Formats: sequence, structure tokens, C-alpha cells
Amino acid sequence: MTEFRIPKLNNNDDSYILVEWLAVDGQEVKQGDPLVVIETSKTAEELESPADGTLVIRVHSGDCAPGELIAAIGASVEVAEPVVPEVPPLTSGEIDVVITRPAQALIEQHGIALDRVRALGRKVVRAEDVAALTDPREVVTLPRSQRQAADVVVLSHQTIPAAFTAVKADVTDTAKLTRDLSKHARTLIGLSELLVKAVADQRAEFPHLFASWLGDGRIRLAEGSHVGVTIDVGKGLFVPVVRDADVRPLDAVARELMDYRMTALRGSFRERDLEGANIAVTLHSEAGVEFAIPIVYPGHVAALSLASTQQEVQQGDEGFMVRQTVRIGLAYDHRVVNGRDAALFLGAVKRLLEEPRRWLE
Amino acid sequence: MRVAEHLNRSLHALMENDPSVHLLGEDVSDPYGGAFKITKGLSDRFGPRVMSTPLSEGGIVGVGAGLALAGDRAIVEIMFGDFATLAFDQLVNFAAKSTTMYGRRVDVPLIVRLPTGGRRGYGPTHSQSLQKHFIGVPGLSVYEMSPFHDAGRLFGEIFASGTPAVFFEDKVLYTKPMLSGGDGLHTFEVRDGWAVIRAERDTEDVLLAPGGLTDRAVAALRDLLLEDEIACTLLVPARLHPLDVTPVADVLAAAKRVHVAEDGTAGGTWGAEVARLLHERLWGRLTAPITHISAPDSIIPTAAHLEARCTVQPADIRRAINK
Amino acid sequence: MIGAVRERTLTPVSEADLSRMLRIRHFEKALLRLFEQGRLNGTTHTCLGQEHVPVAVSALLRPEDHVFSNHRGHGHFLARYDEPHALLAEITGREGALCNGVGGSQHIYHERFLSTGVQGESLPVAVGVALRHKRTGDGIACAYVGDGTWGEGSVYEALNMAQLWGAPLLVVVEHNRIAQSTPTGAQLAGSIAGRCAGFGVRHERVESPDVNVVRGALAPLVDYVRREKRPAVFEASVHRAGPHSKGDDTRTAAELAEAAAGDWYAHYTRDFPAQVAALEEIERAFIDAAVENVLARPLSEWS
Ligand SMILES: Cc1ncc(C[n+]2csc(CCOP(=O)(O)OP(=O)(O)O)c2C)c(N)n1
Ligand SMILES: [Mg+2]
Repeated sequence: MTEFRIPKLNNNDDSYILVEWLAVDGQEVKQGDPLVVIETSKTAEELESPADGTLVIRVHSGDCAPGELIAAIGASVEVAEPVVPEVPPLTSGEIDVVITRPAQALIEQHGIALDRVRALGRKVVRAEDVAALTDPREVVTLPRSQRQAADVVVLSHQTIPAAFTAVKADVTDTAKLTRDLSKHARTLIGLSELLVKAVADQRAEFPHLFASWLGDGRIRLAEGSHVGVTIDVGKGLFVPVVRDADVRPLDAVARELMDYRMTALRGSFRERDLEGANIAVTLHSEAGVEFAIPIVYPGHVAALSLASTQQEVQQGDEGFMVRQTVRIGLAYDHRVVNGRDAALFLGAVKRLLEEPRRWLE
Repeated sequence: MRVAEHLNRSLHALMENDPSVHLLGEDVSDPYGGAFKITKGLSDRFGPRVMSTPLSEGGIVGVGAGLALAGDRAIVEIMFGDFATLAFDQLVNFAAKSTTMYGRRVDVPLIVRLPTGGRRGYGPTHSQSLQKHFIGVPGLSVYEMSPFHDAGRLFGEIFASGTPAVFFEDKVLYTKPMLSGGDGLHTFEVRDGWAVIRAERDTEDVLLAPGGLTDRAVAALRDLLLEDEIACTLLVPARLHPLDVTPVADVLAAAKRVHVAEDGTAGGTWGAEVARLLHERLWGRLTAPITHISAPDSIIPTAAHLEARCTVQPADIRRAINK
Repeated sequence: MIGAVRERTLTPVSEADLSRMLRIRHFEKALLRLFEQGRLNGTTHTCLGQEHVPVAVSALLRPEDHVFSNHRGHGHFLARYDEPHALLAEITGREGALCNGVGGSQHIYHERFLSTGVQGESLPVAVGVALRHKRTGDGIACAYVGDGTWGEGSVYEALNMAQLWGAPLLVVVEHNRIAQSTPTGAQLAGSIAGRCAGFGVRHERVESPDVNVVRGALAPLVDYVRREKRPAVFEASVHRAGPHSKGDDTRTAAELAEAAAGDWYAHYTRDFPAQVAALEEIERAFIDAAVENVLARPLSEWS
């Protein structure tokens, strides 16, 4: 087959016009036969056939450029059938077992017997299913609540550059006081309750710790102290919210926390119980926990941790004595506040816990 | 049973049960029974209620609207959906507007059936997907046949609504079987006008597509599952417009990524309208913008190898979802 | 009339005309064959039985005239442009296709020939082209339509404008008594002549399988359109000897027999058996070679 391209006919034009073919598509032509009329800006020229054979016209008329393939001469031999993507037929019915391609690769790689694959009881066997067969250890899917917790902590780690500070508070006197308070208020008031209230009361002084990071160096301040408190009674970790804890009295806060503990036992939190916190207090009251680093919730600036009460022997004016202490930790978004603010904030909270008389005022 | 036969039986039942139903179209009478044989046996059985018409697409849609206005119910078959353009005036300016433009409700129980789409080599004037031109016309519903939906119920629903409708029927779909139950990999469920095609495990991807795409959408779903291990739920609405997504709100609420596929070219399309609607509902819950899959910006060429390039193929859907 | 010598009913035919009619016939038969073999995508409408009309028409047209064709257009094309390879390449999507395989059988634009698959659509377009011819010379627009296409409103809008504005438009009606499956009596009220009269448009009708008779009846009309710059409608009564497209003929045996009897081919083989046989051999071989040649080509390209 000979290609028939338009030669360069002059120096001025970069395109010509194909006026007409003097032979028709499919005609047998001889070398030297006039074949086509090409018009340049100056003349119309007849071009001759470069070979003998059947003419196959590619460009029938119109614009064409020097070098462009406008025809072929001589029959081509390759028979090409149009390739059209086939759409598999639509069916309904049942299948036995289907193995995905990645799963198949794993099966072959590990030489896993097909009856073991079948025994999985899956209609569609995926790579993850086969992977379980390649490793004798059991694979467990975590419960939904834990998967949600996972999402939250990952997001926190990815998005919040947190720093951490801790203080020690001497709660010897407070421990005694809480008994009286509880009796008086007819509900349990312990260190946890006091801490929630003490934290909430700092908002006027330390508004940034209750804020929310917006990006571009801006934060949105809170309109109330809504303190999320971790409760885990073995049914998953929940963080119900004590709303407006700064403007409500201590006993109201304590009662709400008690309600939340009961709800946690029943496992029936409502969406609104868990929404809208702007700071969190995490409780680590299991004996022996000395201190804990909390996770800053996405959307918060600060989270506090309360560890378990420790007995310490201290030297006082009248010799050695046993004191009760707790470590209060503060994790904070370092984009919003610095170590100094954290220390001042913790100091204020510590004072409230150490000087129980304030609660009676 | 094939979709063509199902449509044929549905029309038989409809005309049998309701003597006010009339059917008009070019070459619909026996023994020919329509270019796609959907009306076979109807004229033999129902005589003058079935009329083979002159080549007058605008005219016969007007006649259908007239019958409907006067208290009958009319089905008009346009031989190729492309020629709906010849009836555009009757549909948009008369049938649709009449339901409200006289200041009170006027029922126009009219169904205009439109065999549609490419992949059969009929060439540019016989292969187009015109759905988008009928989206958002006040007083006009847009339906599309699927292998999951009972056509008889859809026809009944349209007539009962008193709102005229265009009813698209993919020409390749005619040759496919009606589907129910499942295909082993997916279960098929029909609820309130939607078909829900689901994999055995939870999916984060949801694909919405009109019924004409079913073969290609299901093929894509299979490949995604078996080659890429991506499970995707397919939603097929029978009524494309107005679109009511409440019956599938739960499926959409669980979606992380939503894709819309359609035949026809991009630009002012059903798919774009669905994306607009869903972005409003799902914004913030999705992890990516809604993907839109449509045919390249081209007429539908005749030659098979060129036509395949200009129509939506399973691989196009798979690629878009796999991104 | 036992023993009587059968009289010829046809006038002697030129070799060129008969060859072309046979060439078109074999082109169409080849298409039906390819279709059966699954080597043709989509659809095709052959003009079996009607080949003599475009052959009669084309000889009266000048190169500058425009021809508008329809779905049944292979004969219209081949009578005007003797390029069966290029047309076949178009229909089969091969290199050398008239329109790169995009248009296929019913959508062709080649030089001054244009077809579309939407019935009646081209008539108003032909009026526009005719109006330009009227301003610029003696060219005319010739549009082929079937009898069934007279259901479309655009036909009447075109006739009205053509007559109002004096457009040199020749409408050639191939009245084959049927539209797809519907007999003309079931889709056309009154007559085409009567409809033309309504617009004051000149109309001629001829009923003959004889290419010379058809051309003879048409010639004065073409003259009139060209000279007077007025529209005219020429109605050729013909028989559709084949299916509408492929395998979709629901006519009764009697109707099919009538169509076969009316086929020009039947008349010519009867009146000029030797001439037909000799030329037919050549044309069949030519078309067979063309099919072989075209199907061996690479697929058409389109960007
Ligand atoms: C607007 C439009 N409507 C319907 C069709 C489908 N169709 C193609 S050919 C045809 C019949 C045409 O009949 P006629 O004009 O008599 O031409 P014939 O086929 O007999 O040559 C029909 C209905 C079409 N191509 N265009
Ligand atoms: Mg006809």
C-alpha cells in the first residue's frame, strides 16, 4: 500500500483546499494518472497517482495541509473487525461462592485450600477474609462505639498540636468536706464533681480554654461552660455533657453527673446528652493511676484529667503526716494557649480543690 | 421475561382493565406491532383503541393530549425518542402547561413512550438520550423504564397523577431480562419507585442511575466488587423527575461517596440536578464531591467502534467510582 | 393468448442507465447479505424496486444542484456519485468512508448531497438552499421524500414558503404505497396532487417502471423549476420490492407478489433478458469486489 500525501506546493501557504478527486474511492488507478485537484492561494494543481492500485480516499474535500495523508493506493490486507466493549448479560439468581481477584491472588500465594475458603461462609470472599486464613490468630471487629472512639482520637492526633501540663493538688481537707457536702445535697459530691464545677467556673477568667479553633488564627469563644465528662462503666466510653456548669449550683451539676452514670449503665444516651461540649474532663479514678494525659476533643482547646487519690507522707510543722493528693493534667491546643496560661488555669482549679471552704460560701 | 415482553404485557393489561386507555403511534398496529414490537397484539385485541398514525409526531402527541383532556387516557409511542423534539411544543407548551395554566387543576393523563439511547448502530438521529431536555418542565413527569420496575404500576401511577409524562425506554434494555431477587452478588429490592441494588456488606459508595443504564451499572458494580473490592449500592429511580429521594434516605445517609451516571451528554442534565439536590442534603457527610458520569460531548456516531466511544460503558462507571 | 409473442412494454434502455440501476441493485443486495452475516452494524434501508427513479432524476441534475436525501438514500447517492466503495465504507465504518463512519447509511454529506434520518426535516432546509441558488445562478435543490413523509408538518411549511418565495425546489416523491408497515391508504388522506394544488404548486405523477418514461415525464418539470424558479412536486409511483429495513416485512404474500411484479427489474429482465444478464454479471462482480475491498480496510478514524 502506498500512502498518498499532499506535497508542499509553494512557500506561502500552510493549508490548501482539496477541490475534487478526479478518480473515485475504490477505483483502480495507474501511476501517473491525474488523481486530485488541490487549490493553493495562487493556482489549482492536479496531482498524479504515485502508484498502481485501488484508491482509498481518506479526505474527500475541504481543507488540507502539506504532508497530510489524503489517500492510500493499493488494497490493505489487514482485516479489522470493530471491537466493541461487551457488556456482560444481566441475570438474576443465586451463586455459590465468588472470590475477588485480590482474594484469589492471596489464596494462590499462600496455597490455601478451597474448602477452608468455602468454610468462611462468605458469598463474596475478599482479600481481608483470606488474610484471616493466612494468620492463625483471631481477627476481631471492634464494637461500633470503640470504632467511633477510634475515629475521634485519630482526628485529634492528626489535627491538634497538643501540649501537656500537670499539677498536684492536696485534697486532704476536701476529701473530708465532700462527705458533708454529699449528705447535705443528698447526692454524691466527690472530687470529680468538684473538678467539673471548678473547671466550668474558670471560663470568665480563661475564655480561650473553652474556645474552638476556626483556622487562620481565629477562635470562636463559648457562650457557656459545657463540660464533657468521660464515663465508662464497661459498656463503652461515653462523654455526656454537663451544660452551663458555670451558672448552675454544685449540687445540680452533681445530680446531673449521677444521672449520666445511671444512663451509662442502661446504655441509653440520647444524641443531645452527648452534644455541644466545649471542654472535657476525663476521670481516671481507678486506684493507683498517678496521672493521665487526656485527648483534646476535635473542636475543643482543652481537656483535663483527674487521676486517683494518692497517699503521701509529708513533713509538716508537727512532724510527718499523711496527706491525700491528686494529679490534675491539662492537655491543650498549643495554637491557642501557651504554657503560662495552662499553668495559671491549673493553679486556679487547684486552689478551688485545695480550699474546700470556698465551696461553702 | 424480557423487558420488551413485560412492557407489552403491561400494555395489554392496562388496556384490558381500563377501556378509556387509547394507544397511538407510527406502525403500532398488528401484525407489525411497533418498531420494537412493544405494541404487538394490541390492535388485534383492542381494535380502534389502537391507532397506527401518519408520520406526525407533533400531531399525535397533540391528539393524545386531546383525548386525555376530554376524559380518556392516552399512550403515544414515538418511534425513536429523538423525534420527541418534533412533539416538544405539544408536550411542553400544551400538555404540561395545561395542568395548571388555566388557574385550576386540569388533568392530562398522557404518557409519551420514547425508545431511547444508542448502542444499536442506528446513527446520530436515532440514538440520542434526550432526558435532560424534559427535566424541570412544570407539569411534566419524566420516567425511565428499568428491569426492576413493574411497568404496569408505573403507567397506573402516571395516569392516576393526572400529570403528563414522558416515559423513556432504553432500546438495548428491551432485550434484557426483568430482574428480581438478586444476582448472587447483590440483592435487588424495590421500594416506593426505587430499585435498591446492594452488596452483601455495607457500602460507602452509592451510585444513582436511570434504568437504561442498569446493564452497564451492574456490570461496573460486579467489577468493582470482584476486581477492586469496592462494594457500591446502586439506586435506580423509576421517576427521574420530580425526584423524591425520601424512600432511599437511609441508603444515602450512610453514603460517604455518591456517584450519578446517565446516558446523554453533560450540561443541564438529570445527573447534574440529582447532584444539586444531594449536595444540599448530604453536604458535610460526604468525603468527596458527587461524581458525575455521562457520555462524551458528542453526537452518537453510527459505526460500532465509534459509537462505543461515545456512549457510557461499564469501564467509565468503574473508573469514576474507583478514583 | 397462447402462441402470441409477448410485446415489449419498455423503451430501449441505454447501457449506462441499466448498468447503474443494476449496480445499485447489487449494492443493496450486498448490504442485505452483510446484514445477515452480522457484518453490518445498526440498520439500513434498501431501495430495491425503486432504483430507476434516482437514475432517471440524476441525469437531469447539474453538478451545482443540491440533492437532499432520506433514509432510503443509497440509490439517490449512487445514481449521482458513482462511488460505491466510499458509501459502503461509510456504512461499514471503514477507511475511505464519506463521513468517517459517523453518519452511516442515513446521514451523509458529500459534495452537494446531504441526507438525514429525520423524515421531512430536509424540506425546509432545501428551500433555504434553493433560495440561495435563485440568487446566484441556475442551480436547484432536489429533495427526495417518501409518501409517508407527507404526514410531517414541515413538508407543508416548506411547500408554502417555496411557493410564496419562488424557490427552485424539486420535490421527488417516491410513492411506494407504504410507510414502514403502514399502507399509504392508512396514513394519507386525499392525495399528494390535491395537497400540492392547495399551495398552487405544480405537480406531475408518473407510474412506470421505465427509466426513460420517468425521465421523460420529469424533464419538463426540472426545466420549469430551473427556468421559472418555482417549486414543483414530481410523484413517481413505485414498488418497494424489499423490506422496510431488514427482516421487517409484514406484507401478505399477495402484496409481496404485487410488489415483485411491479419491480422495474422484473420488467427489464422480461423485456431485455440478454442485456440485463450481460450487464448484471459485470455489476455483481464489481460490487462483490468492492465489498471485499472495503471490508479489508482498517476501521474508519474520527477525532
Ligand atoms: C420524523 C421521523 N419519524 C419517524 C421515522 C421512522 N421512520 C423511518 S422511515 C419511516 C417510514 C417512511 O415512509 P415513507 O416516507 O413512505 O418512505 P419509505 O420508507 O416508504 O421509502 C418511518 C416511520 C423517522 N425516521 N423520522
Ligand atoms: Mg413509502
